[in-house]
Amino acid sequence: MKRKGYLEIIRLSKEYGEVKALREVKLTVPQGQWLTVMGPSGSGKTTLLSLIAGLIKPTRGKVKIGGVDIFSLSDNQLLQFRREKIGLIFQQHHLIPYLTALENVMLAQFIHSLPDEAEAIDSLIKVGLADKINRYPRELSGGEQQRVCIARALINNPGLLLADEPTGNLDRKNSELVLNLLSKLHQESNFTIVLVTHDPWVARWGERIVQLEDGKVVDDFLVQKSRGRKR
Amino acid sequence: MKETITLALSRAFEFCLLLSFSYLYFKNQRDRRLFFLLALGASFGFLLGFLLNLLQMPFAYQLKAWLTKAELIFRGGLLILVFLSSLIAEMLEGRERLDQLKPRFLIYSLLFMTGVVFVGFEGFDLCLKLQSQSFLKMTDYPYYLGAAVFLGFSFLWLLAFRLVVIYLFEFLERVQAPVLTFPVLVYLIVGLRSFFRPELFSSLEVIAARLLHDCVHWLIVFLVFPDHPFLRESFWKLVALAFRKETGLIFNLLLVLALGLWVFMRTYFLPYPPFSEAKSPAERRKFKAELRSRRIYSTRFIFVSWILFSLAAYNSYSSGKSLYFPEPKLLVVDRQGKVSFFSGELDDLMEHRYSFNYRDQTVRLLAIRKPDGKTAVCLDDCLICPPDGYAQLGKDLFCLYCGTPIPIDTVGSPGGCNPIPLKFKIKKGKIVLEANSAFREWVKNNR
Repeated sequence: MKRKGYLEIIRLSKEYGEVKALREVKLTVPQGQWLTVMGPSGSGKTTLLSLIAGLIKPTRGKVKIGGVDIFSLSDNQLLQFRREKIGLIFQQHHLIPYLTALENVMLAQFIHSLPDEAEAIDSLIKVGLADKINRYPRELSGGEQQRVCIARALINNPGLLLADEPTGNLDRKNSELVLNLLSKLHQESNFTIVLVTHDPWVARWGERIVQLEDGKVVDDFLVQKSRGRKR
Repeated sequence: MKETITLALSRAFEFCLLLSFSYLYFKNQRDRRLFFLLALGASFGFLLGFLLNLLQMPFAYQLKAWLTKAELIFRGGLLILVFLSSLIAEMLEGRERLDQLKPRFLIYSLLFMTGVVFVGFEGFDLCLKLQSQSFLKMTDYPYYLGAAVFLGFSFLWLLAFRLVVIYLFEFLERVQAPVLTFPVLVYLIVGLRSFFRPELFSSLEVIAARLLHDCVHWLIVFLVFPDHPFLRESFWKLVALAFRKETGLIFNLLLVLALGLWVFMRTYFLPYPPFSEAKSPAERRKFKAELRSRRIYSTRFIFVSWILFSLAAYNSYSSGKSLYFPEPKLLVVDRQGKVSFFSGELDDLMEHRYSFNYRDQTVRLLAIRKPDGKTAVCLDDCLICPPDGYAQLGKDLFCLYCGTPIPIDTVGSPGGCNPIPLKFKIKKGKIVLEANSAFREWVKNNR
């Protein structure tokens, strides 16, 4: 019997003119799974992530999140869906430079529904930034900025977290800090993660790895626990 | 007769169409765009009607006749199509009946075009008036005015179109059914008459006004305040404060503002419920935001009140043309201090107004023979409003100050809105009354 997942990608294709970025990708990700998408540059990782987030429209195929076909929604409904169900983390942090860490998190709350300062402070404490809530992004290190991004992405309790090279700009020490944090929050809240990376070391933090090449899934396997998650 | 039948049929058409829209709307509450498209079509139709007439000015009358015929045929066709759509919607099973109609484009187009046709006539009519002005005054000035009005409306329409495309669809998703139904009812009561004969009261409007008047009359005058001279007079003096020119505006403004404030307080400052069903802080925030949004929406009632207020004002302003309001005939006070006029003057069963000068005051009278043959002679004034007088429309007198309709059957009876009755005698075919007593009543009410 076919297993129904929280995230279902059904024969998904994306073409940019003559360039076929994704070709008939099929994936099912159960609730709470940490999926890592790996592949060389130009293999379609970021395109896949953008499609899952509903940021771009597919040429063919469907993406279902929690049973909802996101491309059957109107633009406004999709916007609302994304606000409530999806958290996004990018390699470039995309923090608002003239807002403090706290205000950046509260902005996400505001866009979702209402700002709640106490809740935002709690989330920053959880990511280990208790003493830096009123700092501006330029006053934070790369790792700290990424932790603010994690707090911002998770503040609205999304069911799905999409991370595009979240440690791409960080050194190994800071990467480990960020991934440790992500792992801890994942275990606590059981949200689904789709993380895109080209770094095998980062990929091993997940539970399952999908290998993309030339827009196609060429490998799909579960991470052996015996390999260990660290280094 | 032909005109009356056409008018009656047209009104019936419009009434049926509005019922159809309401029906379609309730069958498919999710799609608020239907009403929006109707309104959009209506505004576009206004412009189109205006343009059509403007284009044929000043001499192409044949075209006008042709357009009128075409428009009538189109209206009939649309009516049939709308009813067919209703039928299809009824036949389809399931809750989302209209959602299943493919293509829904047909319905949207129908609604839009219906709006165009309906209100197109308004624009046509307005332009026709300007055209006749141009003809009568032998000047092109109204023609240019018409062109300017058209350009102004076009600009506003384009602006509105741009704004609604951006904002209104989203807004309509949140509108509650009664809020949309209410304007339809108001339109039915206030707006029907204006399509063909803007100067007429619609029968529905008169019925509504009379019903309101009777309710107020019976409830307040007879139940709450029994017919006690002292209580009645002092009470009505207080009520009069709300209607007098010096204080009426402030009173009404306060009333509307107080109403708005009450709604605001009632909805906006209610404590939030505990949201026990929320599974996470984010969900709790969402519930809270939705509730707050609903509250903010509720306060829009204030603006709806103001729109209705404006509609009512427009209605009062534009409806007085066909009221029968004769000039008062001047009477002379004789040596015995009496004024008189021939009883036979009242045989036409129409309102007659008289005036006489007494002690440096002009006193106005109103006399009418009622359908039952009884005669009523009153002051042209009531206990409440300033003495602007009464005009006749069919079987009612209308207070020109506040617009309250008084059924002619009740003229001669005392009461708040009724004209103040006077004692009189009939001698040798003449109606005779005491000038001094009429004068005293007049002065008492107009100090």
